[in-house]
Amino acid sequence: MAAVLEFKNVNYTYPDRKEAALKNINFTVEKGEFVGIIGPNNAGKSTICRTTNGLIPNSFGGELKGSIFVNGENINDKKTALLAQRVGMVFSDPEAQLSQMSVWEEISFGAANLCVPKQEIFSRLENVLKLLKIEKLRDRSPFELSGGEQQRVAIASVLAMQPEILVLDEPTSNLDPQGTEEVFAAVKDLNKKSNITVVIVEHEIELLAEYADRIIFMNNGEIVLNGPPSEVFHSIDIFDQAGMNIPQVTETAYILDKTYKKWGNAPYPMTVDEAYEKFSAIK
Amino acid sequence: MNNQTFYKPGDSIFHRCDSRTKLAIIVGVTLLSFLFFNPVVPAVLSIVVFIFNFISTGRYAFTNSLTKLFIVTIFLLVLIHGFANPIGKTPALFFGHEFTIPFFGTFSLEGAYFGLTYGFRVTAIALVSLLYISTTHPTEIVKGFTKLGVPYNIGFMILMSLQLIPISSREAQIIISAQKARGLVERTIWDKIKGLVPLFVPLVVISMERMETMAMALEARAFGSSSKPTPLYKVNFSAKDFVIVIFFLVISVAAVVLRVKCGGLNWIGNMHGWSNLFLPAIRG
Amino acid sequence: MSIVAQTIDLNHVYPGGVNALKNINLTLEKGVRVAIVGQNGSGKTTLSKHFNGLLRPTSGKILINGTDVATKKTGELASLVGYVFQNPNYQLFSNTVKDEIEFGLKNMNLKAEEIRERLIETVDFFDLRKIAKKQPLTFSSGVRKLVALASVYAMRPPILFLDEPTTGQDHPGKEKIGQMILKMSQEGHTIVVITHDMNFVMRFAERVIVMAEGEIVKDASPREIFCDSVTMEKAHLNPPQVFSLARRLNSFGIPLDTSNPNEMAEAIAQRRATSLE
Repeated sequence: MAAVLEFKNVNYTYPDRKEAALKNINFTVEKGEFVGIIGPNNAGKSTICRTTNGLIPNSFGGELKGSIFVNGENINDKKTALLAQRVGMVFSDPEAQLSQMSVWEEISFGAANLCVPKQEIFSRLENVLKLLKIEKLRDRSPFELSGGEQQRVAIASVLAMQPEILVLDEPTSNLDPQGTEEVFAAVKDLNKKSNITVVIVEHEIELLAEYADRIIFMNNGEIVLNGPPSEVFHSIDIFDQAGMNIPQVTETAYILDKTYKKWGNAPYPMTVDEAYEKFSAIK
Repeated sequence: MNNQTFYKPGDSIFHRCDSRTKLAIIVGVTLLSFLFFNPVVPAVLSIVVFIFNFISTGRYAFTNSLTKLFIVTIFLLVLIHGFANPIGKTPALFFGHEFTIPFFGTFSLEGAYFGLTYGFRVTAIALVSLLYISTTHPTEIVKGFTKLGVPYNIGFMILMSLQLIPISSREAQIIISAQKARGLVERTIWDKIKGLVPLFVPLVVISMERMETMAMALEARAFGSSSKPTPLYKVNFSAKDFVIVIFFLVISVAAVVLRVKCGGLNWIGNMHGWSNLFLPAIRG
Repeated sequence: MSIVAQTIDLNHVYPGGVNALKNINLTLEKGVRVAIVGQNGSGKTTLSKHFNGLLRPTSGKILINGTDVATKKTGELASLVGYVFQNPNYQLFSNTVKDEIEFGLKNMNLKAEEIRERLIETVDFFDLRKIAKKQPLTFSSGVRKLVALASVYAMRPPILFLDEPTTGQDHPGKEKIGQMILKMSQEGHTIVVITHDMNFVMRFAERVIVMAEGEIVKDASPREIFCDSVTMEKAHLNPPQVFSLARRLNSFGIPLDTSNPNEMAEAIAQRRATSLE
């Protein structure tokens, strides 16, 4: 497997700030992976997102040290507009990232800016409308849609640029549970069916536990944990120290293990399904 | 979302026109109403454009604020010029009596002629502009300008600002509610002025936040990487657009010819009675 | 317990004919912590905005401490019903946290001495002393939420509505807000939280009002609500993870109302202990 995204010794400090926002960040994301980034507010999660497409340092200023590679190519000093076709970015405010008068124009917008030929844009348009199941919204105004629909339009609009990675910065933090599920289902679908690499910053750890192949836990600008969800959520002490929660079923297993000594070496469950399987078998 | 803009969705002939055609109509109407110095031409234009407005947006042609404003404007201009314009020399007779206001003077036919002419001129232009903005979607307006050679980026910025109007106005409503819920009561005018700070500061802060996301989202979609993005629309300048543009072109040319041959159709120097406001006195 | 607020046959029809509230009859007691839950469009926010006059009923009445809300303006109701909006940035405008807290108090036309007293008390209550002279907008969204809450709390309304207090907050931020809710209710304030966050509801509410399509579907304790799968489905809500697990494990003798990981672990351990005997 090839690394689609690689951070090597990345350090970054925002202008006018004393403390570094990113401290010696190293990680890689493989093709087709679904990586979740979690951590308390101000841990550096959004900052990582912004470095992947050059918003940092191009728009934010500040000093970025170390190297970031997209498909093996060093992207330091590349312009955001050029990186846009390589790293598709979705933000948390669904409305503020939309600018066009209809959904189809919104989706075509990025590709048109990249001067993709019109016929090609329209065929991509049809394709992403189908992928995100928003064919019916085609001629609607993006501003009259629900939050979940708006976020799917935003995802479609970056996918139409055919990026190598999809980066989502807290895409569900402004949505209701229904919208959150819509977006998660859509992203999971893209990942599993179309093999699109996903990096997502998210507070909903129980959803991440279910969908992510790997979880990166950040705190104070550093990567504290990086591994498969079962491994990461096993380090409950670290979550406790940061004041973070873990999935309730995982916590249950932890209590069974520590307080009642009824566990053993098996990994803790993270989803209701896994928990059902494990707990119904406890002897 | 359009309740804060003048745009009224519809399917009239003017809705279906290319926005450049409508710009041509604006130019034509402006030219015609300024070519001749008499109230009849702009009055007829105003009525015709008003009918156009009625065809395209129905009741809105009456209820919009612009139409109401300009009815008042005509009235005021006639009054002011009628009494105060030094051009006036023939007093208008109201049931056989002159009408004089101290310090201002006597209501004159010439003044009224002058006021009517200007009143109908601005009204014709205002109404034709209303026709344009009430039947043209903001995107179409911007696209029209871009097709006429305005740079893409500038057109885009205009479009974004147009979209911000309804969003900001919605946000202002929320902020007002939030501050009312904290006991903001406006008893006096001074209260109202003070009340602007708790409204204005959050509005700015929230707009700035929105702008930041907007800017990032635009960059993330390669905005500005090319000054000539792929055009997504075919040129929709159709046969009916041609007919309309040619029609206005012919009328405008005819009007210019008329202006050159017969002068400005100005009969302000030959006023005898009320009827001369709209009809020239028969020379004899 | 004494009743602080009451709605009688409350109906609200939006212009355009949407019947957003249908015959709502509801009483809120002193010091109770209530959560209103339901999908977007279920009527939660519409209902809440009636209590402080931001919306007026199409028919029916709202009584606060026995007074009909219809007789008062929103501004006058502010000292009876506090309302904290979801995004603190819609509220905060002052140069300092202190000014922000004083804003509501000045609107109430209190005497300078009283304002000072309440300011000090509020700052201490929310532990904001260190930042009282600083600009609220420079802080993280968690702190801004607290400042917005403090500025409303200072007016000492018997009822406080909190609209989505946990949105965009990390776990420590949610805990902090939850603790403040507990503290305020202990002081006798009735707290109404409008939220989608079921874990938060389980942890900090003692009564849950489930709304769907403008009606109250159920009004009970969080424990009761979350094990009632019919209601949850009707309102399109998902209970906290432990409740879903309890439902699945019910046939193994785990009670349906097992409501947190501690209880769940204990139940599993006990069941295994008894099954081994």
